[in-house]
Amino acid sequence: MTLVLSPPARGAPRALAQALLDEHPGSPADLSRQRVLLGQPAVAADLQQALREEAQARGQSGVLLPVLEPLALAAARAAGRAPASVWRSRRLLVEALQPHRGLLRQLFQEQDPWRLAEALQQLFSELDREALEPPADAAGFEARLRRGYRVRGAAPAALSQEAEVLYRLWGAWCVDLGAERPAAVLAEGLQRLLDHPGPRLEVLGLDAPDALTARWLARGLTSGRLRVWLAGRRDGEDGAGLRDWLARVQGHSDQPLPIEDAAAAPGPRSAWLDRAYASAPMPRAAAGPGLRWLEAADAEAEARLVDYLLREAWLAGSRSLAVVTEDRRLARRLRALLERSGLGLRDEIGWALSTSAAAAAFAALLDLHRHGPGYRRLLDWLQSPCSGVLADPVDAFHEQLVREGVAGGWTALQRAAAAQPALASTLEALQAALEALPAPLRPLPAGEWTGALLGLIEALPGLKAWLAADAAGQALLETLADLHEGLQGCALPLDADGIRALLDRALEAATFRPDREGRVRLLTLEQAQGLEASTVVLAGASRAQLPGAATASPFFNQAVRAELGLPDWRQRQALSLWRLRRLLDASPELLITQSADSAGEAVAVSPWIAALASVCEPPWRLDGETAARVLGPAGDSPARRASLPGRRRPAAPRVPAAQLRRRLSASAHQRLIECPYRYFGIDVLGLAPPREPDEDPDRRDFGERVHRLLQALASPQPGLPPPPPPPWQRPALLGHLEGLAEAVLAADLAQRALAQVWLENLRAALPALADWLLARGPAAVQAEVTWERDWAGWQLQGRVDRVETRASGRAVIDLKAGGLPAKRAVLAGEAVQLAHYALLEPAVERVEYLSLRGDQGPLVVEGSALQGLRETVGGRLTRRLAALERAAPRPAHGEPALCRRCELIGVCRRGEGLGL
Amino acid sequence: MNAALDPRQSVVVAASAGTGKTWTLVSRIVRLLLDGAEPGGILALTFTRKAAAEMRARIDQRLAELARLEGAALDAALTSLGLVPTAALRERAAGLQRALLFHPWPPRLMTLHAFSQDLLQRFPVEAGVPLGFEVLEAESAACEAAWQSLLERLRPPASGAETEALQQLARQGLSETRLRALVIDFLAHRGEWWAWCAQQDPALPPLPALAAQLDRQLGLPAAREALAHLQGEAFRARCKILARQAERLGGLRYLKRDRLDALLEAPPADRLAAAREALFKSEGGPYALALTRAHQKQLSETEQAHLEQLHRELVAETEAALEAARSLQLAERTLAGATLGSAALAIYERQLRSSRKLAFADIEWYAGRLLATAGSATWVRYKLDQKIEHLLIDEFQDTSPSQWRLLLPLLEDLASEAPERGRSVFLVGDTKQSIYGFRRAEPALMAEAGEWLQSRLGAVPLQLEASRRSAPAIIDLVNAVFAEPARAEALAFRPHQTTRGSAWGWVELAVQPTLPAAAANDDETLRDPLLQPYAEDSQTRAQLEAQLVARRIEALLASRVAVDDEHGSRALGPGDILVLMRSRAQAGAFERALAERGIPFVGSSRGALLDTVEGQDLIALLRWIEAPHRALELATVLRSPLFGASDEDLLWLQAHGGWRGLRERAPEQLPSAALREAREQLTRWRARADLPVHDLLDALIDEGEIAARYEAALPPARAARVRGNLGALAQLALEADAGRYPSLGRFLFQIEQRRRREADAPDEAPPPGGGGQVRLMTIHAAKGLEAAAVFLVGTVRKEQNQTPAWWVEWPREAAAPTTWLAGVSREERDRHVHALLERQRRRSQREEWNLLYVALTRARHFLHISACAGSHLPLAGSAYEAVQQGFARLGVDLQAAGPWCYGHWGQPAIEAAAAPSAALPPLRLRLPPRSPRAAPLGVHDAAAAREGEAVHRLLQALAEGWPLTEALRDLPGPVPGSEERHRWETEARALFSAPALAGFFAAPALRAAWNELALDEDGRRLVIDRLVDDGEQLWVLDYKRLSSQDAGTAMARYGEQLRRYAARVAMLWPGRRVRAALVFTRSRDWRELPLPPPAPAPGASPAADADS
Ligand code: SF4
Repeated sequence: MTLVLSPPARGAPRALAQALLDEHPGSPADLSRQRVLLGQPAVAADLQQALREEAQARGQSGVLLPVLEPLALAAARAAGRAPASVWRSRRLLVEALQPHRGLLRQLFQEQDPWRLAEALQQLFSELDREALEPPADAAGFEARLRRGYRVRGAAPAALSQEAEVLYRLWGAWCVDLGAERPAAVLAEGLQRLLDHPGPRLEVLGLDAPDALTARWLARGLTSGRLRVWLAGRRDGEDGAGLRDWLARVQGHSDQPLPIEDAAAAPGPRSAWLDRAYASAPMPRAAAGPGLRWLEAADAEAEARLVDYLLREAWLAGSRSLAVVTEDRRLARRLRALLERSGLGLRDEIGWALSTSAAAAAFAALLDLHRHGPGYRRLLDWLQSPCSGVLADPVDAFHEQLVREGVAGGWTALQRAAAAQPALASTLEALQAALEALPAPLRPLPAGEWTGALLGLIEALPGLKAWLAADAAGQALLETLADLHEGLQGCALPLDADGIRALLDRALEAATFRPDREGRVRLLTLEQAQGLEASTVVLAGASRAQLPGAATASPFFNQAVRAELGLPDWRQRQALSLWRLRRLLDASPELLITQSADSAGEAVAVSPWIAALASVCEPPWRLDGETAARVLGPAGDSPARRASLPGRRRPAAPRVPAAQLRRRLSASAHQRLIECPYRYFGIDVLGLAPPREPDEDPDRRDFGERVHRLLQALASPQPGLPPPPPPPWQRPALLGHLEGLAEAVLAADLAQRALAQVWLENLRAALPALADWLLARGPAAVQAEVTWERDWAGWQLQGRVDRVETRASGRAVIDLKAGGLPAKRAVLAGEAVQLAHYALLEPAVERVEYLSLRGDQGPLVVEGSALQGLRETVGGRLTRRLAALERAAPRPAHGEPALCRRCELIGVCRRGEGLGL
Repeated sequence: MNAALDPRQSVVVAASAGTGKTWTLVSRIVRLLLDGAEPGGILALTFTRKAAAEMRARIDQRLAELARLEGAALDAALTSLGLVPTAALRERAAGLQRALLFHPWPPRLMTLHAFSQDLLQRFPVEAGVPLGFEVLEAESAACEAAWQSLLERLRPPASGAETEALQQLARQGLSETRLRALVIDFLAHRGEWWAWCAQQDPALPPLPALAAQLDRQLGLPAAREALAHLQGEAFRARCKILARQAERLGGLRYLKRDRLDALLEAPPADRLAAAREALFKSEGGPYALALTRAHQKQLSETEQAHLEQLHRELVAETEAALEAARSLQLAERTLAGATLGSAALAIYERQLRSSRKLAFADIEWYAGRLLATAGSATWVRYKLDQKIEHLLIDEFQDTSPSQWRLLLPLLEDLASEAPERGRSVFLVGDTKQSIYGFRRAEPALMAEAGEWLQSRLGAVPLQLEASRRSAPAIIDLVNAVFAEPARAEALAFRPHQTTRGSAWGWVELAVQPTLPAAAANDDETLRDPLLQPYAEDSQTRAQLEAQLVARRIEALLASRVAVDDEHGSRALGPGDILVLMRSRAQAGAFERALAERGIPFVGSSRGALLDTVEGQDLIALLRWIEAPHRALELATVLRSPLFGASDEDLLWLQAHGGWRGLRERAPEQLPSAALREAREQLTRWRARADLPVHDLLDALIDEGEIAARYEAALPPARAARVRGNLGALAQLALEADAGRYPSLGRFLFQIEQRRRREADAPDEAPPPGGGGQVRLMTIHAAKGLEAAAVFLVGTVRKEQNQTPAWWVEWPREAAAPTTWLAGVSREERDRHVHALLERQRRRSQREEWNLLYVALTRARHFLHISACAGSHLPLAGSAYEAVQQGFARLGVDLQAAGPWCYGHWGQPAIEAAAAPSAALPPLRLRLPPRSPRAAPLGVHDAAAAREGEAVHRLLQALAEGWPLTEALRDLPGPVPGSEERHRWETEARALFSAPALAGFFAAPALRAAWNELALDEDGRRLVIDRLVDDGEQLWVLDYKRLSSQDAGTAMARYGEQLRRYAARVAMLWPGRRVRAALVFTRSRDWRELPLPPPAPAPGASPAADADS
């Protein structure tokens, strides 16, 4: 039979459909005995569509579809056995690497053997597919590499090493895999397909045959057993791919290939493209009909543009829509945007399994196993949909953990869950299942690990059923099973991190297709070779996608690849351009989009699109009108916009008397002075965020320890040495303080390395503290005293670090582990803590800040200054409280430095008012 | 100029600001291509991705131009490249662009980073980096993780050198913050550390090598001696003499007796402290001996002289010992810091290796090491796909010593065969624009490289000094400012010229605003916090300056003065204005002032995205969805424009149990529309917490009408950016976790990390002002930009004098850093540190002048310089003062009232008012979701599904008469065992021969039958298990591995699907009767499914889209 070449404008599926229906004129056309072998599974849909349309056009009631099979699958079926799986193949390589460890360490240093095996396996499979066999000896191989690298004279040592190692490993791989070698299976299967009696085989969508397939094609074509369908032309820049194809297949046959050119008069677009991609440049011309190029400002604008164009096409009656792109990120964004309008994406590429909720949930389980039951990790699992726990109980649990400061540990977590029996039993089951896994750091044969992971899924109630009912979950189960099968019997030890790395790799490589079906097909350029649709958008037409870059393999360069007969970068580019040219002819309405900027830098346009632009003046940039529609507010309904609330006045809430909490601590007093709204938010609404249980200890905790020390000097405290009897001598006091410092920090010192720093900080402050204590003179001392006092109908409160009572009156000392406020601020009533204490207790005649830092002396206010402060701050407080009683507004006007660290910035809306 | 383009000649160009550096570089590349250089052999390196992208764009532009030009214009373009036009050349020029478009290996224009990364990706094995490594974005998080792991390792009861180091540092009084900084900053210097280690004697591990280096550099043996001397008996004995003499004299004024006694009693270890107490004042200097007349009378002259000498010696010895102690402490801290740092570094390396990641700094180091390793460079040359024939390097002044080390082997390689193979190097830069000292750029390398290239490649040095950018007034000011001798010398400044002779130019120096007299602190009336906000002096000052600047910008815009660009002349707009400042911390006041005046502006960098109101609100919303008990987040969301709740609503919520109270109440019980709406929306969103984060975010943005709401709520100048920001946030969610699915909690954690990272990152230029916004940025970010009008603000500022955690010195000629010292505070510095700091001070002074140079030269027409000095912000040495001096030099009378101006003003623009754009119709589309791809499986058990499939196939084989062995050949999964096969075959045979099913399988009686028949249903594929045509009717059969006892459930479950099949069959055979049945394989019988009457018209499809 023949190779049927149709022009780019007529897709190969269309040509095949027409031919088949010509041959089966009945109604319905029964093609069910016909076999079509597909080089690319996505063309099945194109053929189906073409058959439907063609049958309809001929008045046939419909078609009983032919058997459509991907070629590789058909070959494996025909061979009756499957090639070794990827994981099996890698595992054999890892095992093969073991005996060569000495040599390998020299060459591969600390490379992860699994990664290395992956790279080698890719290379060897490629060599295999190209029907290459290891040469008879290493020297021969090295000679070929030298030719490839164009080395004249002495070869660099690295070349000889590369040659030797690859030669040895390649040989070992071929021997180990034996009949399971993919090429062996493929070759046998292909042969059987030719030998099998039955109707002629149609071959569709096979534009990049490897050497084995090319040989098979040559034989099938010349023997008449195959009919092969391709679209494209042989001349022009875009014809290089087809020229390569023909040369490749012809190279396996002495007879000329039977070729039938399906002649068709090119339409105006085709004619224009023919000229635009002609080998000789054409004079400048108008843009090709039906082609539009649009350049959006950035990735987001491009996604929105594509979404817009598709909606526009749909509303204009276009019903077969497709987006062709290599840019997965764009596709993901588009998926969400198209969901909004209900158009949705029908993805034929498949999403990486690693992007699925199922994979994330499984990862959360493994994290729990590897790093232990931290509360965040546990919540990660509980909040995942497959944990089977409802959202409300999890939230209540979360709240409780934060309230009680439970950072992790099964016992504490179980205790916290005890109030919710269902949750408690889930936790129990989880703990049991995780504890049944091998210890994370224990090296185990890889196969045992995968078995244990499969066991984990079985052990958690409901998990397997959930996964099986979810498309990604199902793919996860299959991936795990594959991994398990491939690693079965592998004796190489791995720990939890090792197996996790393999699993992650498997999840990145595996794909799944979600259950939801959209109306817009999403394809790669490779998949789009048979595409016909009423609207096609080629999105992400940048140089990075089209042609992309030569893959950076750690082995060989492009010249060596060419020397060895592997497809090289030039050939790949030719293939892509061939496919692109086909795509540009695939639809009456073809839109090309590209983003001008990515993460702040200009994106280079695809040279092949630029080549079109170089022969005409395209409407290149997104014109203002479209941009406004796509990105601007024009999409919102004007009536709705008018009904939205506009700018608001700065916040200044009034609290009705009934909701006043008439209590004022020193810190609340300070907040009231600094920003009344902050006081409202924290002290009235209670919005201060709680501390996360796993937060590291900080200066606050240090301050708390220091306060305990001070307390232990005034009165006996549990777990700390009692205060020494007076009179105190410096050396003894210092010794006592030393002991106290160690005692108050004992728990920290046992747990945190950095507590050592606290201890030394404290130690450094002790001599000054001792001197200060010795200078105090006799007094009755109390520490950590809570004072309360009624003030204009409010209850003033304060907790004082140290109170010294003498006949003359009382002195209040506040110990600061960090810096002190400026005295100016204290006297101006801006820093009110000390004044607040003075208000609480009329007998206070001296207030003092004592800093632990060596560079700051105490700050003291006493006598008339204190009296003045008491009066002014007290007077102001009385007036302010009265104002609050009258529901005076509490404006949000903290100073910028305060606002920068204030948690309430989102509540007071200060940023909104300033438009920042 | 043409010499710079000659491809046969290597060139080093020193190009001042605005002199067409990029033009020259691009021209040289074009010229190389025209001369027939292999495109792939051209490698142009830059230091920023932006510069690389710009270069690419310019080359494309130039090639397109050459392709378009004809006749004289083309000839002129070729002549400007130093070429003589010929017919062949014209043809080549016209076709060059197209040829390159289809060339597999175009010229490479990339950053040095990208080049290094490329190199490592191609040579991972040789370079010893993980195969398939990824670039680590969150470098600071990785450093932090290493630090945390180190702390974990040092947890008690750990012991060893690292624990000891930690204790030493703690004893030295380092705070937690300082300690962390010491380790984290060490990690940041890891490239230098590796370079240093590589230079050490391989026999000696790095830490002992460092100890030996410190011994040498700090003179530690002598220091130890000085200290030992002080602790020895001899010193004490002489102190005793001094004490005795003092006693004999009845006491000396300053040398207190108790302190001298304490000195004599102090144990050797404490003696230094005691000697300092006794002999030195607390603020530093020694006490004088101060002999009174009475004392002098008591002593003979010799005795007096002896006493004075003794005092002098003791003071000097103590001073030496104090200095020695400082050196020893410095060495101890350095070693301890390096001990912890290198331990953390080992952890960092391990962690990165296991996650297969490399940070930028690592990439550079490994690439450098790869190239520098003996033999590697040759191998790299062979193995690289594109051999480097022509190397061009842009902005060379930004090169760091480690980057220079990376470039050297490439240059060596080029130099080795340059003449015979026509290879060349082109290097361009401007040391006056070297402002990245904090990224370790070393401008002195420009001279180093120049010398190297001259000697090895015969490179020609060239200078470009004529600005193509700035008007004469601007250049006059630049020349005047840098004519000052010290500045001229530091910058090697040569007066500039400009080619823009007639362009208008205006420079003005603003008067510094005076602060209103501070209100007297009236004790009677403290500030009333309910009425009056608190304000600090310094803020007030910054605000004042910002307000003046904002007013000036307003006036400038109102003047509608004309500026030129590639589209012709037009009125100056906000997008033409840059506001430049020295540090990002200064931006707040200016942003507020511009916002208050309603001037549209854009602040610096994308980093601020997460700090925008909408960004913060959305994050709060996500945090709330993750955990609805979070009251602060709920309050934020409610108060945001999303719901616009009032403070009264918050009070209501507080009194009614928060979210739970809100959710449990019926809508009509709620006090406001905002709360009612919030209740409904939030409940719905909460239920979608398990969507992928990006999809969730997109749903929130769409359903919450966030864009419209924020546009209505924000000031207009700010509202314009909302949509862009929301889109950017959605994009951010796509990037999270490299596209993997992060849980909401993890995503929020990553976002928080990112926010911190961006807050720490150097400033980046905001997008170009095409959007008509004033751009605010730091001078660092403005590098490479230009604008019609530039405001340089805050030019009097306080020096940031923070002690870094490490001082590392890498002299330009050295192969590795020569000095490693841990940072010590002012009092702890010895003379080595002082000397080092002096060197650094000179460098940073020079860099400050460079910054001023860069800032001034951004302007095309208009330049405004302002400041607000104060008592703690001295004018002396400031940029403001330098500009003042420049004005004086230009002859401006600074005694006259300001502002002081120079230059001439432009004409106002004449412009037609733009037609208002017509309102566009919205394009709304809400389609119902499409029916699912496949009917639900019904069986979740993989083993059962496999068994079903096997029996199914065997039935097909039996029906079609082919061998049963063939049927199971390609069954997915493991090869079935013989027992399994047997079981399945038995079952299949039993079914096939079951009397109840004979009508479906008895072949001779059937007109036709199909197994596994695929049909088309509007693009979907339906597969029917078996279709039988018995002549009378068509039977659609579906096999179920069930018993007919379950028929009821099965019919309910699969009926719909079967009906779809039947309807499709009916359409294919119009007029034929179609029946459908489920075949139960367990009970080996069947049940018919009642079908609706046949469809009225052919062509209608029950499953087609309702909307299609
Ligand atoms: S952000 Fe500022 S204004 Fe708002 S509450 Fe906090 S301190 Fe007050």
